[in-house]
Amino acid sequence: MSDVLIIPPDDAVAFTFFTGYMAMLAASIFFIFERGRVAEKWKLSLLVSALITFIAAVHYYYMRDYYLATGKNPTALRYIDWTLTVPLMCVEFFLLTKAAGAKLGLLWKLILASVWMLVAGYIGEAFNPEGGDSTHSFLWGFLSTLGYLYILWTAWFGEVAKLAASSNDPVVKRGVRTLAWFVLVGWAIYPIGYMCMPGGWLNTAFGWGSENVDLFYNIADAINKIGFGLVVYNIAVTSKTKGEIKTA
Amino acid sequence: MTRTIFIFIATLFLFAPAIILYESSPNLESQLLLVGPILLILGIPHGAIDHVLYQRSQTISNFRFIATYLSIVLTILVLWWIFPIITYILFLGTSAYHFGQSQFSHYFKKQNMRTRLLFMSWGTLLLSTLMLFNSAELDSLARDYSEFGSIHVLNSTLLLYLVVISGLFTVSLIFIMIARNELLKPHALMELVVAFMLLVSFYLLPFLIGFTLYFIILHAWKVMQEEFGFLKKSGVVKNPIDFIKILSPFSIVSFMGIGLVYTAIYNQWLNISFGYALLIVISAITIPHAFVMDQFYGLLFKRKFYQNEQVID
Repeated sequence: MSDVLIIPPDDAVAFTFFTGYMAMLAASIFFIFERGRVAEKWKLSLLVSALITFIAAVHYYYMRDYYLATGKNPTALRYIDWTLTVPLMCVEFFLLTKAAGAKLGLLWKLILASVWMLVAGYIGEAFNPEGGDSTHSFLWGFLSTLGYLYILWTAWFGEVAKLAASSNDPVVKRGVRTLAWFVLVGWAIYPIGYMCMPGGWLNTAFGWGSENVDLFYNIADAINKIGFGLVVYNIAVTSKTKGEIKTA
Repeated sequence: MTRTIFIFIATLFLFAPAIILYESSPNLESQLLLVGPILLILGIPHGAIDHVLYQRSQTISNFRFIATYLSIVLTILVLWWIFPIITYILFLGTSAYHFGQSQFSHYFKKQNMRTRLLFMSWGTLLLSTLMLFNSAELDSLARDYSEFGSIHVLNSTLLLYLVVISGLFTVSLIFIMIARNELLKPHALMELVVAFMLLVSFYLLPFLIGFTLYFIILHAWKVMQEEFGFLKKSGVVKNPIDFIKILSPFSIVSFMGIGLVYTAIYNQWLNISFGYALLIVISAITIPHAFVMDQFYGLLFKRKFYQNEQVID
């Protein structure tokens, strides 16, 4: 009985760790099973969606235990998860626009930008001096944001947006635009979490502490990873239906 | 999203957190030193080609336009002297409408009563939120300078009412416009995201820095892009250099005018604070500018400028 970890009823962070874990796992199963129902060209996209949520589910499994046992932010586990899943989200952008002529170079640029964003974010968060240092927080936050802005620009105005615009498939156009919205709104939740750590902007302005960091990250992960996958699934299903209607 | 909105987001995310590097919140004088030059260099030129814009829709000579413009400016200066509170409210109201109009100008096919109400309510929400979230700074300004104290009639309670009413009005109008197919859902959603970011920036940043971030990027820069695009299409200018040439004369005159006011205050020929004098000067040029811009936007809608331009996604 002593090994049983109890979720305090008022601990929203622990609660979201558990629900996040189950939601990611359920989403993975859903994407894997549904993969068989979509057209051949969308199978890889759906597999990537399943991988994103499955990798996150495994990390959430460890993070929820780590959090309950120590009460601390599982920063290292969090960033290991993101280092794998965020570049995979960039792969989704590439796969969606591949039919419209996306080159491998686009994929590498997006992956590099996402890795840059995460490495800078990790240094900013994990090596933040005891008690918090505003200069450290600002500097690494600034560098990390450059990576985010590059992806945001690419999705809304750059190569991804141009390729989607030149695509003949309205479903792909709509899908890429929806994913661009995820990058704008969903991904913007992460900086909110980052700025809650000691020395961060929201920490000094509102007094939001490290407990808020994980709450924001858990909410953002659930929205972005599952939501991202559902958008891809919707594109695959809608595109298939339209194709069938066309041939009929 | 427009490129202007992207620049606003990028600036907010990259530079606004730098405020944490300050030990304590900078006072209004320090803020003015920091953002004053940016406000002047980018803010003044966006209103320095009013004569060129007005002459695209009305037949009027340069002399007559400038004479009328200066008469309005002088009238406002006199009004500040006789009825400072009324003129201050008039300035805020005109600015609110002007800010709302420039924010939404590219979404609509035509201007009607609903769009005008939206311009007014959005602008009121913007200004009242800015003032409410920074009411402590404004209160201390009113305490330190008697001339600001005499026009400081918008207290926190009144501002809170204005925020709630204008906020509800703005959101309701947006929903009505979506239902009537006058505003597309993605555009409405984008404006809600931008409004949210503006409110957050007003809350977290000091008064002048928060306002400058909005004014320079989302207002002045956007308006200058519209002016340039329109004049290029009309064949008045060919490239940005031509555009800078036509907005330079009145920009320089305005800079000299502000310099003159500063000299007069510095030498104690004029017995008011520089901040108050700046407020009067800005209001005296904003009111006629907002009128000219209303005519200009009318012209843009008439010529279906935005229906042929790829400015928004």
